[in-house]
Amino acid sequence: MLTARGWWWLFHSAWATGVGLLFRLEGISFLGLVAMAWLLAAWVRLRLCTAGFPRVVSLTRTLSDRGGSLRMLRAGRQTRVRVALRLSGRLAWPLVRMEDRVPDDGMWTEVIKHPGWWPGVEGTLAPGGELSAEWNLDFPLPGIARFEGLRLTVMDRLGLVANVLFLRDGTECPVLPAGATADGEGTGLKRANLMPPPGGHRLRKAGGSSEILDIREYRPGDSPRWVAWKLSARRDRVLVKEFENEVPVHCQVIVDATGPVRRWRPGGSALCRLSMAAAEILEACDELRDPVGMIITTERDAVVERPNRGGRHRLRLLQRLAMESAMPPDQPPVDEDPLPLFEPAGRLAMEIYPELYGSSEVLLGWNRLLLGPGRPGFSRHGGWTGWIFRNRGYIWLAPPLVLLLAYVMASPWLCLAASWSGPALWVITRLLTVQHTLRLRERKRLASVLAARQGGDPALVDAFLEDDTLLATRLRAFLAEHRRDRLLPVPAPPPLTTFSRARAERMARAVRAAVANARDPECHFLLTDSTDLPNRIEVLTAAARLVRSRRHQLVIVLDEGLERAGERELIAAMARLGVPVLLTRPGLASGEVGRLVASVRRLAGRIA
Amino acid sequence: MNAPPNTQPLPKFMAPLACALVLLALLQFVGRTTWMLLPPGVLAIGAFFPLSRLPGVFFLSLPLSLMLETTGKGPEEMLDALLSPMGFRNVGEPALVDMQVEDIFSLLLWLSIAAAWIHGFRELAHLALAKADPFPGPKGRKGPSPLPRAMPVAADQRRSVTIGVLCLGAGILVVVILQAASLSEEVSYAAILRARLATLGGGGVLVLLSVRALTGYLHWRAMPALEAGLVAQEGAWREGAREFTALDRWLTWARLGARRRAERQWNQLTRRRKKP
Repeated sequence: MLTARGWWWLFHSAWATGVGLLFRLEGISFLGLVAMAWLLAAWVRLRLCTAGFPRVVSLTRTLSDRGGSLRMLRAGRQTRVRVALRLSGRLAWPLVRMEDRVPDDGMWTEVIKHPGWWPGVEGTLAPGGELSAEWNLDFPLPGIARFEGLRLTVMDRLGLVANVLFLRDGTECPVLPAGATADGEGTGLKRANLMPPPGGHRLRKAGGSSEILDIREYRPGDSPRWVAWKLSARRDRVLVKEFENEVPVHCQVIVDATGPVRRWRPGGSALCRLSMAAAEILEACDELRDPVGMIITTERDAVVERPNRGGRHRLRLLQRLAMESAMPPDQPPVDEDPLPLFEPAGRLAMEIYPELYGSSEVLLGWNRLLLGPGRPGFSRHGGWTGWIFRNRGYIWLAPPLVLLLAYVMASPWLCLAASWSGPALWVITRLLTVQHTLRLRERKRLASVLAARQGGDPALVDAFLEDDTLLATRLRAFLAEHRRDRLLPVPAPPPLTTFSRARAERMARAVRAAVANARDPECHFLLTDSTDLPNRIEVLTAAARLVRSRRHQLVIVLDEGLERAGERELIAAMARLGVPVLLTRPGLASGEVGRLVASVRRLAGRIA
Repeated sequence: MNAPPNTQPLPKFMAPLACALVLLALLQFVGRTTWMLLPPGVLAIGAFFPLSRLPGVFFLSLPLSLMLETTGKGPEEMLDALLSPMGFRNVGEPALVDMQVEDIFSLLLWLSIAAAWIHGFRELAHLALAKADPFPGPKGRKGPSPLPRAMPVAADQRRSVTIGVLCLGAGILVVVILQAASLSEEVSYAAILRARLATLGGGGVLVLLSVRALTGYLHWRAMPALEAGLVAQEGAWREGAREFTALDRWLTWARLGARRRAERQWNQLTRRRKKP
């Protein structure tokens, strides 16, 4: 393609050549021809040096932070990305702009200063040479960092012709939810944590050791044997001895990963915050050397990780949380017009798949556009021009009808008009429906890219061309996969519910499963948000009552949504059962949840 | 290598100025008026203005000065003509800067002018690189390029540019001389013009098609899997769109019809239902 500078070059050399040839000024026409030949030579050279793409280049990407190279990122921690491009072709690339696409949900640290730009470098690339760029990546929320690739703009030395290429990378790194910072104060509940030997007798209650850990006020329910009589007499109030807990407390973190929690809101989805809170709970339990398990409930199933200890187990849990946080909510099929999605989807496709979306292969042939799609066509084209567009195949009926009319009326003029009626109507129809033609062309490009992403089924292209609901659903999924659906209007809910809304039942079932598989003593953490839960509060209350009846501890971590409907009722109902509810919100300080959980467990006394 | 653009020193201004002076000296052999001072004047004035537009203005000024030179009337004569309405003296005079194909000195002169032209533009383009972003990019970007640059030095490629311009110019001269030699003296200029247009247009199209075919073949050899899948998909779709998908369309029609019927029945049911 010609750059702006190249178009000016072509314009000036063209008019110099034209004037020179027209007025027989050999010198000026010679100058114009030399300039045009220079442009042509630059174009040929650029085509040749980029012809073997992407085989002629190779890409190396390294991630690092202060501690060295990385394979997994941490949310909220800055990462240094280094990307190097090596040219193995025979022809040098005279001018290159190499830009690295920032992963979705990630942030280039200098993007505020340079809106619209990607990090990169500009320079020249000799055969066997290397061009490298370094930039800082910030990932505020857990998920998966997918590096799509590099956008390469190659130009000749004068900047007259350019070629825009995209070198696909596809490297994926999990972004683990960051726990509390390591410099937090310890919980001070344990000095030792002895696992019973296999077949050994386990203590019925925690905290039954002989080592005194602390002295505290008497609380109703404390055993009289724990009262520190002498100290109480000296202080004139009842004090009890708190013993060390030598028994590991099995912790189960139950994370709600259903659709409403995954929905994106300003500041991140609730699931991202719950994952951060779960990571802090994992860290707090790890500090106490308690085995931790996890149950993640989704719309389809529940993933169960049995309680265990150790670094590999914790890493597996964190990776699972990162994967769940990265997935957008399921979008049920909605009957809607896909036209408003064309523009953002086209922009995204041009950004990520320029070789597919910009290819001339995927354009609808002009012959098909002129003749029109076969009957019947179901894609919605509104208005009277849309009606004409949909029914333009009936134009062929016009000449015989006019001919019939001419026969009936015995009119030679109508007989003459019969031969012209077809072409004339065709031209009028084309002019009236040009917007629908262009829309169909755009639709064909998007359909081809979507079908190629899903394996290259040619029948799928036709299905996308015909079925509005299918295309709109897939376009929404494509945009959601790359986090571009956030500014789109939410479609109307489907008339018939196609997925379960029984979130409270799912939560209660997960809690009951955790209790059923429990080995005393046990502590359960339920992480969810308050959307729709208070409507079915009795289900959750029953589950919480079951937990308390087994003398387990239950802590609910509730994400504060934008609409806090029923939050108070839930907190009050849980307070009656003695279940503490912790609230998280956007902007909560790192480690706050971990500290709250530790203090709750300390207050719980007997269990911790 | 990764120095920010504002700290990178601009190349010297001497090279384009030297080009302009050489051009001026060369043009003294063919020029008669002072219009030939226009391109170096643009360079001199451009030193005080932002560099972003200077290559284009310089590029425009060269043929413009030559065109004005062919009139044979410089600014002084034009001033005279303005002052005295009867002062049209040089009308119809043959062009002074016309190229004489037979004259080797004239050929060398024009070749040098072309080389100086492209060289001057090249130096200015390098100078303007820091100011005006030549890279095409997506819309919505604000400000100049913030990316660090490791640009080549302008002086590195002067020799190759000179050789390139000389080769191109020599090739075009050969074409022009052959065209002139193949036509007899009595043939009108319109016939020569037609022959030239046919040669140039046809040659250009031939070069474009052959280069596109060659690079298309190279790209086909190096195509990534996703793009190859797309090409195969499009081929299959084009071949089977007419026959195979007719059935799919009717199936779609049947499915949508059944759905509409079900919705209509559902609406009727819910409308007629009486609340207890």
